[in-house]
Amino acid sequence: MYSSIQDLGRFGYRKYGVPISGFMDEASAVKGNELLGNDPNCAVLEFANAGPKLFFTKPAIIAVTGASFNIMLDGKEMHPNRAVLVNSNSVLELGKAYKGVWGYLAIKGGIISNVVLGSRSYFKGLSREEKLNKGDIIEISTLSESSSQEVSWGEQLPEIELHRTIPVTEGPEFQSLPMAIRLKITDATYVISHQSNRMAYLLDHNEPISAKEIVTAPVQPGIVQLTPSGKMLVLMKDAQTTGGYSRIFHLNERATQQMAQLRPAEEVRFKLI
Amino acid sequence: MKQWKVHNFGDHAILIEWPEDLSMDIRREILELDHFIEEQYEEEVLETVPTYHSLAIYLNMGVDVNVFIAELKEIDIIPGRDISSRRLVHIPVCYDKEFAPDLNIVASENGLTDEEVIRLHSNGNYRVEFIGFLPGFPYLTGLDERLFTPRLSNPRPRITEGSIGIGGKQTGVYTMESPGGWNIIGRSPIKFFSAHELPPSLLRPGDLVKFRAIDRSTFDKILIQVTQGIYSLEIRTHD
Repeated sequence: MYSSIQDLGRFGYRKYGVPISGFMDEASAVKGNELLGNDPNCAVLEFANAGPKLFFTKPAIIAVTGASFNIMLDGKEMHPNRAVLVNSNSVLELGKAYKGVWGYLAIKGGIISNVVLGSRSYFKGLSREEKLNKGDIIEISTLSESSSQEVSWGEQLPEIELHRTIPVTEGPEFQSLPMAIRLKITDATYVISHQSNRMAYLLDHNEPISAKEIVTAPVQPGIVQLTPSGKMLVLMKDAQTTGGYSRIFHLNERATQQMAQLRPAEEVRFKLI
Repeated sequence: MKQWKVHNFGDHAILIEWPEDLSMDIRREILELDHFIEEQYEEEVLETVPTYHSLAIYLNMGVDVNVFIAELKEIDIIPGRDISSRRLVHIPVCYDKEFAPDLNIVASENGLTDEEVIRLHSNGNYRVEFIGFLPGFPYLTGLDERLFTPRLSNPRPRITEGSIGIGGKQTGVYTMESPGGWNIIGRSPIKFFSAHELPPSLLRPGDLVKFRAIDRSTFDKILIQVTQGIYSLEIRTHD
């Protein structure tokens, strides 16, 4: 379980080595905010693989989006992907994800936490915390009289769809790879490693592939790197701003989010477009 | 003649690339073009990242990448303006054994004594080419080739903030606690990154850097001043 507070991300500081961070599955997180009539950049709770157990000290309107979890509110099953009113002293329990990885708990008015360099997204060394821990208190907005009118009550979003073939374009170093390697990396089936996190997803494979180191150059989330020892890395939201490995593919933002929702041990393929 | 080429960089960004020779002219031109684009295209450009021989330009939502690429391709000469930083930053470094677990590796690798390593490192003139890897982490050129040392074969899981390292042909500062594979030869007591200041990074591309050797008691004194927020770093302007 890994829970943190995220928003759309931290922009304007990549030149100073600051990663953008932000929602791993932006589409799902933003949909949660939209259901509640929040700004898309409202800070939400993001959790991976399993969700936290939360005690509400005041009433709130919430929506759970992203990966599919068993959700219990005061011991009763709760619907994801729609707005729900939670009373004071309620207990929300998010179990294990059974489809996808990243789940989001959006709260009407958003989470109130420290803004560092224009963002509430947690990042080690920048935000006071690196992740949420048992016993932490999360401050949320207090509902106002007009809050309820801004919520899309009754609207039910569809469950997330998983995509195991991810569209990619050529990265800056793709054309400098030997033809045999280009064919292999495009045809291979990869398995997502357990060593995947918010910085990068590591892809396991049995292909004899590798690429030279490059002179350190810009990278961004969605870049696929191939190392001299043959490791394949898909860069995610907390990725460094520069890197020294060959940049062989590029996933666009949507494709990067689809990739993020695939679980360790699951297979993935790339399709060059 | 124009030496750079403009490419797409994913869906919403542009990568400008120069030839890989790292001549001073090219390194200056990258920063000049970076400055020009940030000023000239404030509405279109979200942010930029310069590196050794490329410049990434991240665009705001709604900007048509291909239209913007066509516009950038029209630029032939950067309107001449001297934007070099002119800052010379003196960084105090304590090379004591306690802070320098790999000083002896750098020395033995190059047939030098520990003292010679310290002298060569603190006599060097360095230039900040760009910031990357960690918030505030400077990529410096100018390391004396007698100090070139391969990275550790097993990177350390945790390197203390302020540690000064040598990795291959490069030297730099771990501006935050992080894992890392460079040979650690000293530690600086100053703060290199502060989210409460703008810009948050002490060092900026184009800055010149010198390391000044300090003893342990000076390290402690500076560290206290840094903690109290009363330390003033020596930054000079140069011609």
